[in-house]
Amino acid sequence: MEERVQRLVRVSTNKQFVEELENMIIPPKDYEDLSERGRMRDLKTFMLESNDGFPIQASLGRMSYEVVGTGLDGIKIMQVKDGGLTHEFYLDMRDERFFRLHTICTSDVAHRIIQALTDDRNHTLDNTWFHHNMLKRLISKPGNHFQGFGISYSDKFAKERDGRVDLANLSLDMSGSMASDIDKLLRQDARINRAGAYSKVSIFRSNGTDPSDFVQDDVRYDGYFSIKQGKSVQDHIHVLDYCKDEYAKTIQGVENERIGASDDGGGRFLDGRSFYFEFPHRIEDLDAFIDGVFNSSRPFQLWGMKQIISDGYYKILAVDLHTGSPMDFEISDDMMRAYIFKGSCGNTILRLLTNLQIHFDSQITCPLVEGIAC
Amino acid sequence: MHASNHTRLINKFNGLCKNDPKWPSTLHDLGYKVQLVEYKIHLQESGTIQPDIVAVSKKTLHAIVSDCKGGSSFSTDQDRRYASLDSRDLEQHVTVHDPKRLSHDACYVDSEDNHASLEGRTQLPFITFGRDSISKHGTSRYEQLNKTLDRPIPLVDAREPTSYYPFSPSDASAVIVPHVLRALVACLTARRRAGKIDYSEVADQIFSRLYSAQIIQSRHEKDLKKTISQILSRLLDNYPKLKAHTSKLESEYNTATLQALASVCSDVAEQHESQTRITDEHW
Repeated sequence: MEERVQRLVRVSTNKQFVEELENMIIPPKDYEDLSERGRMRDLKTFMLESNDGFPIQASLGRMSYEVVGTGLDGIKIMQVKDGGLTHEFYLDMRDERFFRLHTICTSDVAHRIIQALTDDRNHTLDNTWFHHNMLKRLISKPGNHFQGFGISYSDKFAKERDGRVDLANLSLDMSGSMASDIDKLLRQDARINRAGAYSKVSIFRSNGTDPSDFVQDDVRYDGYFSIKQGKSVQDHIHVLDYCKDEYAKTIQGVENERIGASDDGGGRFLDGRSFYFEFPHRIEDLDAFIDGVFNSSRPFQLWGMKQIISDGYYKILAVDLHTGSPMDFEISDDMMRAYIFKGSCGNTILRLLTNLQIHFDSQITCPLVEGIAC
Repeated sequence: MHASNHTRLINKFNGLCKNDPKWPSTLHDLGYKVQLVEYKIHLQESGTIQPDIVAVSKKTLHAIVSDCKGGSSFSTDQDRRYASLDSRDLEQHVTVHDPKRLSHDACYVDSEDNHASLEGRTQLPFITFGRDSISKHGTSRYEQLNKTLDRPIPLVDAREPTSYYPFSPSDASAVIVPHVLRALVACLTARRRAGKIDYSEVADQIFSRLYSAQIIQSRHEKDLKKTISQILSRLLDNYPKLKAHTSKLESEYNTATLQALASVCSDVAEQHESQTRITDEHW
């Protein structure tokens, strides 16, 4: 079925921009598809990161896009040509490093476009990566109410044994007033708890004065936000702002720990330290783990050469394929150290931590990252 | 070959100045930070020393000037120069709020395996890394350091850090080659964003890494880059598979090509190591 394309309005004030986001949720009365009339649409927002800006045009395989201005500084429209169709996103470039793309495209289309953007080898756009505790903290922020959670665990490290692959999977989507109780209950089982990193959390927010003025936002681990109920765009923006602020602070803290010479005004000294990842459960098959992390593919996007340091302890000379930055790792069955160097991007550490929790063990922690956020 | 004993000792000592759950943070806890790496210091008396690491505690105004002994070689002349080091020699090189009050200890850092051959040949103290513990031999002029290191520091469940100091330009080529290969891949994957690879960037990247880690001074830039470029061009000439896979990556950038390149790089590093084990003249 051919997708209808909604042209976005060129806005000239912030107020108008927010109103247009609200209008995107509520279909206009003359909306052609009668079956959808009166039904709220999901406003989807993707938060992307890049430290070399957002390219204003690019060719992405069979897609291409162009960024055009509105009348408002920092708010643009990204027009994506996909076959004979054009999809439009509001692109909020008011932050130099963290970009927001708002759309009401269908989920499949929107995700395909975002994947093409982040796969583009000519630029360094990446998802933002919200690890388990970051999503947990979001739930407990004042004004936020926990409405549900999702788990999407798939074992990326399974190796073929005796001719078969022993894959462990868990997919859950819980919502409602008892979601929190179910969450607690599930975590009593050690095996489920291990697979139970939040892949998303559902947040209810309301301004408290008007009962109809609320939003229920699903916030996913890869920087994807979607309004599931309500139409309070202000509350949606509040959730986005909180996540961006915490994420930016964490990235900054990570980048302050990069290895290399620093100057404190009085002279150079060797600064920075490694990121220590603690594995509460021993890695059963260290070779499979290393192969899984450094296999040059999503989600980790790490290339690596393994060297032995001592029995059961390895060094990996790696490259972050998202930026082409070198990284070093030391890995044994109960820990991992990651080293990033001056000039490389801190997003790598958050991508690694989040995806290790999602795909390997939800209880893996990186105390240095946690310490930055607290 | 992942590193020489000398490189490993520098990293282990560096690790003591960091806060790390799997390595003792003994010197970090006393406020020490690494300020100089392989840095030449002129002595007021006469001559120079080039300690591997100078760690300074701004809190206590004390510097540890250390020479790492990867093997059993020992120079009495060098030992005499270290012994004659005056804190004033350090004043212009290290950063402290009150350089006049700076005190120091010169010491050797060695490993348990070699310690017997070095012990008794110097009055300077040793910090010795063993398999199960770190111990001090001799006496520091700084009482707090003596107190802290008086009892061996256990290394139970410890994991040595290896990446603060990647390698020394004087290391065997088998140690340097994996870093050159990794830099090659980093440049190949980064350059995809702007066009084709310029092989001189591999040497640029290694220089900036060593320079940033303070292992090399800018005056050695030209020599290091020349050495790296020579290693790279020999690798590409001697291992046609490596050249073929790097070229393939330029035209066919995908996971399978990257995985194949990882496997080729590991083979090249391994083959190179076994060849150079027979004769380093090959290079």
